[in-house]
Amino acid sequence: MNYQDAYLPSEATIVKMTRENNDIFTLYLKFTDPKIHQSYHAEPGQFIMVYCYGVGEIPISIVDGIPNDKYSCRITVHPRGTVTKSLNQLNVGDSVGLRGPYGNSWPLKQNIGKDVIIISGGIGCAPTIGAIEYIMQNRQDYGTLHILHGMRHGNDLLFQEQYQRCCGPDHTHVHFAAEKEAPQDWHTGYVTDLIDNLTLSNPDNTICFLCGPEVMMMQAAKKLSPQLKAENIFLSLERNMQCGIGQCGHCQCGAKFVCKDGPIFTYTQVKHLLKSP
Amino acid sequence: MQYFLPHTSITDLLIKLHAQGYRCIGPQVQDSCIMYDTITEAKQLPWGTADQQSAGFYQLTESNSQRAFNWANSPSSIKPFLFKQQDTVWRVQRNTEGKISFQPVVEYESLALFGIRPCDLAAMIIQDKVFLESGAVDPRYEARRKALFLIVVNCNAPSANCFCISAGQDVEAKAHFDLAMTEIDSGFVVTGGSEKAAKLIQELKLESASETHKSQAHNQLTQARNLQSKKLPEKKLAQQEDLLNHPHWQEVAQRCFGCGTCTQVCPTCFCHKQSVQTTSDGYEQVREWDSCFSEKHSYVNGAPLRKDVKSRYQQWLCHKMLYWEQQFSCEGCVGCGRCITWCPAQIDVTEELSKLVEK
Repeated sequence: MNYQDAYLPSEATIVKMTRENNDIFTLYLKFTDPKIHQSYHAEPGQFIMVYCYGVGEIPISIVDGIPNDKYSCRITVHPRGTVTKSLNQLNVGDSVGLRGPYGNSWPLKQNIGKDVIIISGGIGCAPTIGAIEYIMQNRQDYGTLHILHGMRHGNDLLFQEQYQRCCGPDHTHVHFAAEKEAPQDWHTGYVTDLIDNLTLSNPDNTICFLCGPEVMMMQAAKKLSPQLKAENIFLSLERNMQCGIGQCGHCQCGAKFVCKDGPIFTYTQVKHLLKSP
Repeated sequence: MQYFLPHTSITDLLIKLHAQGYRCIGPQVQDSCIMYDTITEAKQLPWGTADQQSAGFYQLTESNSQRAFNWANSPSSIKPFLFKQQDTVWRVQRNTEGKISFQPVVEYESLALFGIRPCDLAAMIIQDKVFLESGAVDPRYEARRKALFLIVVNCNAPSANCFCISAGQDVEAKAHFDLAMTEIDSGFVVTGGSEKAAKLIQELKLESASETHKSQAHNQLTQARNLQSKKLPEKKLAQQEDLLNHPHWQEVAQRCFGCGTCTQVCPTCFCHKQSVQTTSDGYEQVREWDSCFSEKHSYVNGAPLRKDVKSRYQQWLCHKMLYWEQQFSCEGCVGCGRCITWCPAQIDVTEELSKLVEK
């Protein structure tokens, strides 16, 4: 979207709200101005700036922004900070401010024909859901899909419906791990443990998307890198992003502005800048 | 074509600019410093004033000449006139139905900046890249930038902390001004750099500069160039292997207070944060300068990513001297020396860089 003033949000209304578990909730937001709603388009992996009236503005990753009549974008929120806790108090019909989308997206269209591994940890699964849905909708364009998702507690699984849809088709494998009280068919431990059991038939032709705590992503990248090329491993970074347009300076990671050069980087790009596990 | 503006005509120049709708801003002595503020007549200028600068030291002294520009630079650059220290970005209100509406705030006025230094002009061109040419435009910066009349006075008196030449700049402004002037004993040798300046020169009925005036100005600038002894090391940070693990980062971190003064006086630093403030009928989004030395600068998930002075000093220096080039295709430092002058720990960036490029 091309705003005249890159810093100015536009009003959006909460059209639907769902509880994912005790804490986490999802907001379906629709721009009030029909012109903005119609022109809005986000790609999986991008983020949006959400303003809560009188409280503040924060970046939140977009679960999906596929054009439809009902809503402009969907965000899944873990209420931990001031703004996210305030969003938790809102109801359907309430207004927020939105600007964006910002940042780059998972390289899906550039990697047609390849096998895909998607590894996420905790709430880090949210930005990968759009990519998973895209692959499932264009299943013939991709090879084997491995989804590995880890969480702290066996009860923490979000997006069950989306994961369920991936469990049927051929060449699609979903594996979960939980550190505590993992259900019987899950792994007890870290999501990165699941990498050891991964059989890659064509590593040269495989890409991997990582999203979650940095230490998890680095561990996963390290484990995968003997087989996968570093430029085929993609990490979605989280930094203090306040403007979304590379002007406020907070999100810098080396010479990169995570908000506009990222949030998705190849392992080659960021390996030397992040802490090795 | 060069013209001559006698010292006695400065007030005329200011009056003409005022008549064209500009508020004139010029250097003057305030609180024992040279500061930029509203100026209406020539007598407000810092006549006969010089500045002494060294690491952690700044003092105004009497100059051995009665000129107005016998000093290097002021604590504050012209940055605050464009990228304000505190600035309202937009306002938001909520009506009785709960609907919220955002109104952009773009406040600006026509300013004639008289007597700015070439280093500060160079820094403004660098900030243009951040706020106008990086893919998104900040309308507040843009409106203020377009409403400027820029009168640069070339530098005759670099301080001991100046290193603009080694930073790729010069004591003489070559472009991006309306008027560029070099002060000589009786007045200024003036070059026009825009159509509005040509008109002003005509209105002021300035005479052509004589050959004597021109050679005097030329010789002075050559002398000023020769006066600069401080230099950046020839070897760039980019050429240093394993730079981030160099032991000197720890050494400098022990001396650095982490106060962020260097970022506040720097004419190119652009980091800013936003906060919510209440108004009589809603809220406004206010942006304020931030510093990479502040704890909150790198906050993510409730904790700072850069937890110590070492990592913050590293971020500041690497951003300025290494990453900037990759981000904006230009240097991030103009060599004004302010970060050295105003550092309470007397840290000299050129010395630290020399240590960091050593094996």
